[in-house]
Amino acid sequence: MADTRKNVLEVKNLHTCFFMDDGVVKSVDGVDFTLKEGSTLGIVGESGSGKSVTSLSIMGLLTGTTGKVTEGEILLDGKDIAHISNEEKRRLRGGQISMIFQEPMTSLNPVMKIGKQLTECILQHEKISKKEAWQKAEDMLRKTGVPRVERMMNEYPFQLSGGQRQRVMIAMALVCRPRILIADEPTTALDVTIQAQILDLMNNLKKEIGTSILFITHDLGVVAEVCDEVAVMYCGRVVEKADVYSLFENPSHPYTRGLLGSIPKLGEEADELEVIPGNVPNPKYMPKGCKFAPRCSMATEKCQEEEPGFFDLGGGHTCRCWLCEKGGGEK
Amino acid sequence: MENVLVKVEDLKLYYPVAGKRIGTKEYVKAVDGVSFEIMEGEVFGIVGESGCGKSTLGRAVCKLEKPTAGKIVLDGEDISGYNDKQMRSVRKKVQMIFQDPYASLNPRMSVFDIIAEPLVIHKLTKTKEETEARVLDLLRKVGLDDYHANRYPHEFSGGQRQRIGIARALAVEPKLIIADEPVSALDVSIQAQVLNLLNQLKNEFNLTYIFVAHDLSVVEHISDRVGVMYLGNFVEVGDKKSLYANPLHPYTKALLSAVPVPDPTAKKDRVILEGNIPSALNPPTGCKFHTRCPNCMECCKTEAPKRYQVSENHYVYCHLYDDKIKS
Ligand SMILES: Nc1ncnc2c1ncn2[C@@H]1O[C@H](COP(=O)(O)OP(=O)(O)O)[C@@H](O)[C@H]1O
Ligand SMILES: Nc1ncnc2c1ncn2[C@@H]1O[C@H](COP(=O)(O)OP(=O)(O)O)[C@@H](O)[C@H]1O
Ligand SMILES: [Mg+2]
Ligand SMILES: [Mg+2]
Repeated sequence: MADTRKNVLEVKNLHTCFFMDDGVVKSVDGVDFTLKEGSTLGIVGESGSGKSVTSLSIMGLLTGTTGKVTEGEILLDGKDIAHISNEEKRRLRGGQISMIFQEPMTSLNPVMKIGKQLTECILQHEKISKKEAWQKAEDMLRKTGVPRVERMMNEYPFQLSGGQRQRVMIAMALVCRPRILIADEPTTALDVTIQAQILDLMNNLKKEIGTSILFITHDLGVVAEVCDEVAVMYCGRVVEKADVYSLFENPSHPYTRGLLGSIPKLGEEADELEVIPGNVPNPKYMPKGCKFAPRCSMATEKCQEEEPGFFDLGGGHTCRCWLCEKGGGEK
Repeated sequence: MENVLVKVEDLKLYYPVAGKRIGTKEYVKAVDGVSFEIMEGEVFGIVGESGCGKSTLGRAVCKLEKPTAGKIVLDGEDISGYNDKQMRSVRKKVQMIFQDPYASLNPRMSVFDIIAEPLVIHKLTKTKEETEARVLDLLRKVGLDDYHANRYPHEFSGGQRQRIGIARALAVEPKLIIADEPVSALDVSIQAQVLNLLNQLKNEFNLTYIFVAHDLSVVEHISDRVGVMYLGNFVEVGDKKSLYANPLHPYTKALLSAVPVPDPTAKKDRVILEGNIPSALNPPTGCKFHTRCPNCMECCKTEAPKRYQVSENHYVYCHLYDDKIKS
């Protein structure tokens, strides 16, 4: 079963650190994944696991923080984008790569009308007339399913509801037909009925425009719904990677299993939920071996001492846990 | 026989806001005529999308906010007309837990003082030694350690702070706990810990909960009975099992179908609702849901639906269940 889809985005051994007065925080500590053309890769994990920092590293948006990519490669269509100039990074954003966030106001200008924002974004990346750009903006906005498009083009962001702003941000992100859309918890702040609308919209636009999506979320339900592939993150690392079907059918890392066990599922009765004991370790006091070992009921002495690499479980399913060592050879 | 602990009749809470013209007033009908009963030892879940009035209803039941109209009977006592002073004795019976424990914990007080405060205010302990023993006991009950007593809220994680909030609520040995989105801000693994704790404490102390949340799976997990709210009203109230297996109201159906299921092979018959929730300042006439309802009929636009009983413990407010209209 050879996968012939091209790799749009490859992240290899990515390390991102924050240099603080009282020490260095390794927020992303050796992350690898590949986003294939036309597919959606989910990055899932609890808060603080390094999902957002990973996406900011890809977008080149760490400037202005103490954060820095210290090691690794980020390849867009095979070309390195981790070590290019700020100017080149800026050109990529909004063109080849765009991003949507949980809070739409982080990417909308509060004092500029919607139409103007969309049009300016188009004109930055395409050489067309203002009138054509305006038309294009309207068409895109219409695709997102907002009501009364003509009027909204002349409104300010504060005049819209949360769900509408999210749609405007999606319009803004997709209007230049990016190769990659990075969506960082795009529906987390929304109600489920609005979330369903937005996920539907993203799926449709993905098919239409052919954009590949890196979908960051903490919600395994959303992952099951929109992703083709999944990477589970814990403590700045990817601990398990698989296509969405194998991940849910055969979750292999104890952390993945714990996460799945702790969510209440509709229509399933249980007196008690499975729990992952304890908390995520403080980044300043990371355990030595496997970072999950202190919370893992199956941890052995080896797990405390030595961090596992990835073990191949077949069919592209890999897992970073010593328990998987017997299953297949080390990669 | 089971006792009715809470009985609420036609409860309304309207927030006055400045109208469009100067000097005029308009009303946000946050809770607009809600009735329900809760049995002792029961967990009553309230779900609905943001802005539908869940928090307001929770606060109105314990009169943290003054209801505009309606009757509240708590443990056989009609507290509808009680003033603040009369409410003081009632406060011992009802406690609240909030979504953001950090905002509800005084950052300058140690955990010990936070939990001891209600004991002292309600004169529940007589000596310092007794207070101390009680605080430590409560800490252990919620899964914290003795040494946590001398720390301050900022030194704790979100899940631990929620435990502190729960310990404080338990201090006065309440009968009813109103929990407003108590696990919504927590990561799933921590959420599971807190949900298990709430279940355990309920059994140990024979508590009754009103559990307010927007997450339908969480509400199903913890509740015995569930009410679904839309724009200040219940649209459906029923036994958890019956309501989730056999939702009746078109809104409940849409809401349930929108929940992402953690199973990529699950079949989805999704009812995508059009548009947004209308404003509670100017809600639609008739059935408030009619503007988004896939089954809207002519009568829905003008007439508010009555309550229809569909099975023993399952009620729906929808014209579709009126025999006359059905035939
Ligand atoms: N600007 C920053 N300065 C210092 N540390 C940061 C900064 N942004 C993120 N971090 C740290 O990096 C880690 C990962 O954060 P993040 O990627 O935001 O997690 P997630 O998105 O998975 O919730 C956290 O420990 C966080 O505190
Ligand atoms: N103090 C207030 N003043 C005016 N309107 C309010 C106030 N508090 C809440 N509201 C409004 O009342 C309605 C119900 O709010 P709330 O009870 O917080 O809903 P929920 O908890 O279901 O999200 C909303 O329309 C909200 O904007
Ligand atoms: Mg994040
Ligand atoms: Mg609320």
